[in-house]
Amino acid sequence: MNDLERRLRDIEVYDPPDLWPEIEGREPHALPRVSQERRVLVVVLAFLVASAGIGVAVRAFSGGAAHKQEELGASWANGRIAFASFEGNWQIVTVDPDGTHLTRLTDLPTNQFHPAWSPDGGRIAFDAQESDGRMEIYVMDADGSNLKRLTEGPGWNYLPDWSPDGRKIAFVSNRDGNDEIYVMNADGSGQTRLTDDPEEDLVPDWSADGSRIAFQSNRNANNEIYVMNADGSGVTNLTDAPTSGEFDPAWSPDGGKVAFVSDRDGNPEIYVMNSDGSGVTRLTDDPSHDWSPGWSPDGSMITFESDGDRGHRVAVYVMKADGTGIKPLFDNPHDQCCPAWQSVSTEETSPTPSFTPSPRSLEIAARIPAQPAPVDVASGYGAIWVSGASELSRIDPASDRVVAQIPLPGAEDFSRIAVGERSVWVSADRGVVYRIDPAFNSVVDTIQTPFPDLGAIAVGDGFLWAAGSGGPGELMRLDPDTGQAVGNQIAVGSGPKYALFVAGELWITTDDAIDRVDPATGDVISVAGTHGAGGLAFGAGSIWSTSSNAEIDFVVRIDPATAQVSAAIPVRLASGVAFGDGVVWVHTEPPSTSSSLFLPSREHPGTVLTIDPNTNGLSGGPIEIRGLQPIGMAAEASSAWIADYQDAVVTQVTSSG
Amino acid sequence: MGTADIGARSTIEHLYREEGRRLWWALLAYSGDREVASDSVAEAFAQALRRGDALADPRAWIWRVAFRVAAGELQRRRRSDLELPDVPDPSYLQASELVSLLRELPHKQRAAIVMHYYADRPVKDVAAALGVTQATARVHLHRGRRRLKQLLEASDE
Repeated sequence: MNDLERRLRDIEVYDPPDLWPEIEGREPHALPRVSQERRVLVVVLAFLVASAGIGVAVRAFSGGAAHKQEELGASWANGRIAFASFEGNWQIVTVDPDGTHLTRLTDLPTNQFHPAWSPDGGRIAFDAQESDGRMEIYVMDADGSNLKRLTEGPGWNYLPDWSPDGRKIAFVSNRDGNDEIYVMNADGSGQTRLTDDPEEDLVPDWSADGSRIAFQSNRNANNEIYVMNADGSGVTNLTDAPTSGEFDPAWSPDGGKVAFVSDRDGNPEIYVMNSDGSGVTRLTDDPSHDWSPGWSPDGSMITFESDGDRGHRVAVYVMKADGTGIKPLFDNPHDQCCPAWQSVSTEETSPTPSFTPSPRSLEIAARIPAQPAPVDVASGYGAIWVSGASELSRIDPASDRVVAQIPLPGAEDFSRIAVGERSVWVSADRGVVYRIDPAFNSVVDTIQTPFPDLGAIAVGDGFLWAAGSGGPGELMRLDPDTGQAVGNQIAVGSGPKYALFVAGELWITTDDAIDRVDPATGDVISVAGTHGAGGLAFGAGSIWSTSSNAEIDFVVRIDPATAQVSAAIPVRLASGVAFGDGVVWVHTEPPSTSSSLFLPSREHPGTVLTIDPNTNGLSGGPIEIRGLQPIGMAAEASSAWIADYQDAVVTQVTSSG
Repeated sequence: MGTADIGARSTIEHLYREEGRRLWWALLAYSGDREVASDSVAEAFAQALRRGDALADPRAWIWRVAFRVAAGELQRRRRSDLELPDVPDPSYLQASELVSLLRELPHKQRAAIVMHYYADRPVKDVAAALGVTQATARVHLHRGRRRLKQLLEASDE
């Protein structure tokens, strides 16, 4: 027993009362919301189910539209929405998902329709009417430049859809007398027919793993959704609804679902089904006609077009993937059609995503001393931000140097960083949040939240989100400019630790689970099978975190639309995650013992590894890092930055493959 | 009361006999207040009794709830008073000095120190009681230990 422990025993001079009679007769106060221990059993069961599902999940996200997502901190992870707008004739335009920043991309004398984004979000294929009335397929850059025609007859060529690796485009042509599905290289060469049926085959849509193509066909007398292998073999009827018409298939980014249109209730509505045709669910229910569903790259939202009673002639709408929250995308008097959502590219020049995970080699690129000892790290605005006692440091990732140290008076106890709204935000003692302008490396505002004990902060949807951790968890949104609370507090699980805003919803880790909060309704869903989460990250259309039960630690992948664990990947002592450059970064910590709080174990040092979201399997590392006791991690380009409190160092690990 | 309830009750009572005193001392060191310590212990065990066999690890659960009840009570009161005995016994003086020094620490550091270094609770349980990650709990422990040692050394001089 050392001196400190001996001194602590001085307290035993006081004589404790016998409280058992009071305990037996006592009426307890309100019980905590969730029983942590009971949930452990649920966790085990959920993991068994989720683990069994990994084989299915392996096929998802193979370099498709969801491959390139902006990671943690972006206030909107999806890119812009392209659609055709009737302004005398139909032209291709793009707009931000909130309906702002409309840009007209084409200015041609004829009609253009059916924009389709390349998987890296850099180009748009579309079909345009020729002077003789036929349609041909064109491609242009995302800003409308470099217009190029890909097809030149014979017949009509239209309805393009990129393969998820960006190398091919599926399309429809009637060159053999009726509409068939074709495929060509992205430069227009190598045009090959995939279907051969006397009836119409239309609207090809590539699955995210590139192995299959869904399409609509009336080959059985009425329109149905079919799926075939990417070489045209193995055609299967998915809907098999002989009394109704099914149209416009759109594969979800995770490959698990297909949205489509059906008139089975009397008029065209948007439906969704599992990719094997099961579990058909209606998403819209309106007297107007709803057509042309398309998923956001993160899978959380669906765009569609609708006419009539919704207040427009034909207009593009956006809704959540469960059919709630329907709202018009862009309120103007022009007819709009055929929306498509851009996947955000994280790089200026995006390499072609690979179908097969390539092993990456990880290496320590830098160990940057960080004083005061870091307690959190985040990336944003081209910098790595590290918080320590009373200070925020800015590291230049190019030079690995601390280029600014910003004093945060009063932030001595513990701090967390959030990035967004053109600012870096740091929580401090007694519920204070500092707002730092990254352009000037200085504190521009101090916000006093109502929580004396701030557990987590996040930025998104134009608000600062703060969660109090003393007692039951409470979540509040604050106006970032005035610091005033907006709306009511929302009850979340106790002990909120990390928060992340993604596509209109807030994700928050608590003592017992990861909660998904819908700010509009205040609805909170606890994700079954998550416990003891260490960090939150967003990428490849999924929320990533860690979870553990009594025996096993996992990296968990959560489907934002369903708030369910889609994969649980066992990683011993996984303690934090980040997403960058198409991979999930994971750090593990050494086992701790009572006697050596921070002393790293030589047998079990901390490690860093990467997981490929295409396979949910290990793609890099693990690389052992002597002395690593990670407390936070951020990803930037092809590096992860791991904050180590005990060694007062930020370690940069780079990935190369 | 079913057989399972009787079993759970007996487990909780056994736990109280085994752990109740140490928990009370830990809460007294944390809060500096007998009343807060007693109330937190009683509340945590009473809640455990109500939950019966729903608790897979009642020991960890009771420590967590007791410290949270105490933290909430301290927050509500915003001050606390240790009832010092009238007798000028040197051991009491040393104990009251310890409590005074612990009060100099932020409350999470104080709770972490008491749970881990006095009561030997693993970091995992400390993190659960504080509502933080294990890595964060280690930071509170590291900072708290460093600060408390400085304070103890200064008071010994």
